[in-house]
Amino acid sequence: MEEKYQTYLTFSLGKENFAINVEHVEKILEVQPVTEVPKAPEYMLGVFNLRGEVIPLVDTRIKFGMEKTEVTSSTCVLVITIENENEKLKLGAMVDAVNEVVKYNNADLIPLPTVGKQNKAEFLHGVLKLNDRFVLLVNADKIFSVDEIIELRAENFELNE
Amino acid sequence: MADSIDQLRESFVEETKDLINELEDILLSLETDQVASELIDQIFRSIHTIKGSGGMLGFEKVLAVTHDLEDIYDRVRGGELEFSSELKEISLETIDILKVLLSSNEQIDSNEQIRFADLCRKIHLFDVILSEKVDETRPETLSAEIIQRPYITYWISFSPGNVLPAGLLHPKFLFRELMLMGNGLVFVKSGSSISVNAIEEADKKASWLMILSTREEKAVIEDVFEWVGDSSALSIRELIRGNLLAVPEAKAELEKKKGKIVEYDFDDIIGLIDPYVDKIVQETVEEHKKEKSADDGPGANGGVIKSIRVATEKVDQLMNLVSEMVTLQARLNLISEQMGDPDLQAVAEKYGSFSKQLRDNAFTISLVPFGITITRYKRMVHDLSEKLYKKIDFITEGEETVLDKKIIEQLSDPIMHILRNSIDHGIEPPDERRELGKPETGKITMKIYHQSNNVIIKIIDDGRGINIREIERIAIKKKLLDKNHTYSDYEILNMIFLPGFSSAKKVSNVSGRGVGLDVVKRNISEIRGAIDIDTEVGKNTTFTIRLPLTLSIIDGLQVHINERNFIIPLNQVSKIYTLDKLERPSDLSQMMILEGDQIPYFDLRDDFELGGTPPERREVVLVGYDQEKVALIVDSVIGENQTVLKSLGSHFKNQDFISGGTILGDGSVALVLDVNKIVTVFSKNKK
Repeated sequence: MEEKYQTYLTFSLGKENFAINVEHVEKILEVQPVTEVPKAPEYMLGVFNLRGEVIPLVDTRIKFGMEKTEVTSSTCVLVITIENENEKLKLGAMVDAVNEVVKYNNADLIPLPTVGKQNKAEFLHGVLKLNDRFVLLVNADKIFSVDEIIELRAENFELNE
Repeated sequence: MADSIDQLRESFVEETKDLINELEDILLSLETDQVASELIDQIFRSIHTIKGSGGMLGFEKVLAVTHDLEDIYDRVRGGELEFSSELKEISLETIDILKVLLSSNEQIDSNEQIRFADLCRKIHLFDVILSEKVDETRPETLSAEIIQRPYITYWISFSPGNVLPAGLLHPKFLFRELMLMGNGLVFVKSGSSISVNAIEEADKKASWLMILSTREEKAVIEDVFEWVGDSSALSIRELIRGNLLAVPEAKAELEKKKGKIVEYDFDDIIGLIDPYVDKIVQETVEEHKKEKSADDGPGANGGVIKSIRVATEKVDQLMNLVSEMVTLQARLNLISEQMGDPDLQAVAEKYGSFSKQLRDNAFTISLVPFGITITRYKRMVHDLSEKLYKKIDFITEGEETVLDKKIIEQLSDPIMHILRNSIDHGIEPPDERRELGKPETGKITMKIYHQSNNVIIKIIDDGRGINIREIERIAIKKKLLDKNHTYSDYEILNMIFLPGFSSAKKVSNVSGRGVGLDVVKRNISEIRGAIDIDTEVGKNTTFTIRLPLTLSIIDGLQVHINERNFIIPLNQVSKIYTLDKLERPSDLSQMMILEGDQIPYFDLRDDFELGGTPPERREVVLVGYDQEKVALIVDSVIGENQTVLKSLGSHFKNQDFISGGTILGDGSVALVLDVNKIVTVFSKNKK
């Protein structure tokens, strides 16, 4: 079994709320000047300079199947490390806002219905209810290592308030 | 705790692999050379180390297979028997088995198991038969060898650290081993009690003191402690020349002191044994003289460390830091110029030249001599020529040439393939060569050398060459060439690098595996290199591989397209033109007219979909692509740039016409173009 308590960082994209395991998160930065890479998928905004390293920057909203990000004063970049096929990748994920750090117990998780329209359960660790709102716990290793756009919204999982 | 055992085992595996490669190299070199005694010594020492450390860390099979072999080489070393080709084959076989054992952590399958058991039996038989042969001569040589090394009495103090791997590596094993080397007295401070020669009851964490009189060299004693880890304290010092413990009074005196002795430091013990020194000196004078000459031998340079092992991770880290510093330095320059303060400018300039030196220095660290991998090629040539009944002299030149470690690793497959090709298809069987009036032994030469910022590797065989007409025939048959067109020999020859082209008449296990030279070419262009072939029928074939010196730093040409910065590798740039008006011979083809020639061109603004309106005056960068030239249209050329190349990572694997990014003086990232890929990617789109 997993450890009893997990620590997650919650962030929002539009009206949706997500959370990522803090183990993935290395830094939180303000919006960075980015160099576009020609012919890259739309959600790959390009690359930026992180203290001498060249790091890809993802528009998380597009990646999660939403409209592209409009940069505001609360927009920020999560520098995260993911592991894919034994390879460690570092990338920046642009999000609308970073909210809080939450600890939860496995018992707090709401089970995902298995009969959703598309089965995207593999991209989530689970769902949590915080202040009456659903928070999707994203499986960063999975979602940021596949090339496709993955639509992730609470309604897609037939979660109702 | 478990971690440190694994670490020890891991580092044993790593280091032993190096040792094995060295061994293999030496063994293969013994083919033609007169067998030099230093080499035999080295072989013996390597096997001894593998056996010792392997046994201690629980590599039982490693121990089993090296045990008798060590014995055999000890006798070769002593002059009892000659180094024979039979011994060589057995040794090479042992190396193969060791490789399997090390990479599988001794978990081998049943086939390997049989091979392993066979080999052990073979070695053992070899050893036994030899013992019978040389029995009469043995005592003499044995004593002769021992006299060469006099007794020396050492003071050995050892305290295990916290991370000493318990259980598997109890210090008592070390001291048991030392006891076998001569006369020894061991004192253990275990908790509060101190006992003499109570090795077995000793506590794992106890401190140890040993007085050892032995004929072994200090290095051999140090070897015993090779795996104890960094946190333990070890001190080995020569107390006195001669067999101190053979003097009963001295031994008794030391034993008597047992309780206090652990508190004695080195000098106290010197004082303690002083009255007995006279008694041993007599014995040693004679031996000492004899040893003198041996001292100037191979052991003489043993104390100087010429190189150290550093984890590649650390080197990478250093590179990153240096790159970051180079970037910062460019910024400092920019700022100091803007401010115009002469003092600041002087500092910035000085700092600039210093950081350039540091950069150059750091980059040479990541370069390693090509020779580190040469053994595998020698081995392959040796094995394969034997298998195919061909006689081949494999000559290598320029093994000391340095290049980036990553390049060397990625070269292994392509070079292996080319060599296999040369052995299988190039070099003729001995009788055929004789008939042709060639020497029976074929020759494959591999030359490595620097040429400006490139490394060139040439592989030349003096075999039958490649029949260009035959290539042409196959290429036309496979519709790779148009039969109504005439081609240059060069164009035809290059057909062999195309996917799906294999001229091998029969599929052999050797080079006809369906993996052809197209893969070789691809592998090489992945490390930004190029391959070329030249041949003379009946005489020779030459493969030439041209590579960048390093993957991580290149000279670049910085260009602007729609206010974005790109870098073109400078070594591919041949000319820069100003473009007032794009002249095209026809609207249909992707050709432009440049100095009267028709040249394929790529308008990067369009190809990269960068948008915007191009300025009236643009610039054209003419670059080399294979043997051809292509033109890249950019907005403007900014200038040269020292480019520290960084990978964009697997997220951009589909944008492989960008070979990486680099950080400019203002902190922004510029993309580095891969010219070869641009040509292949964007030509396809246009067709």
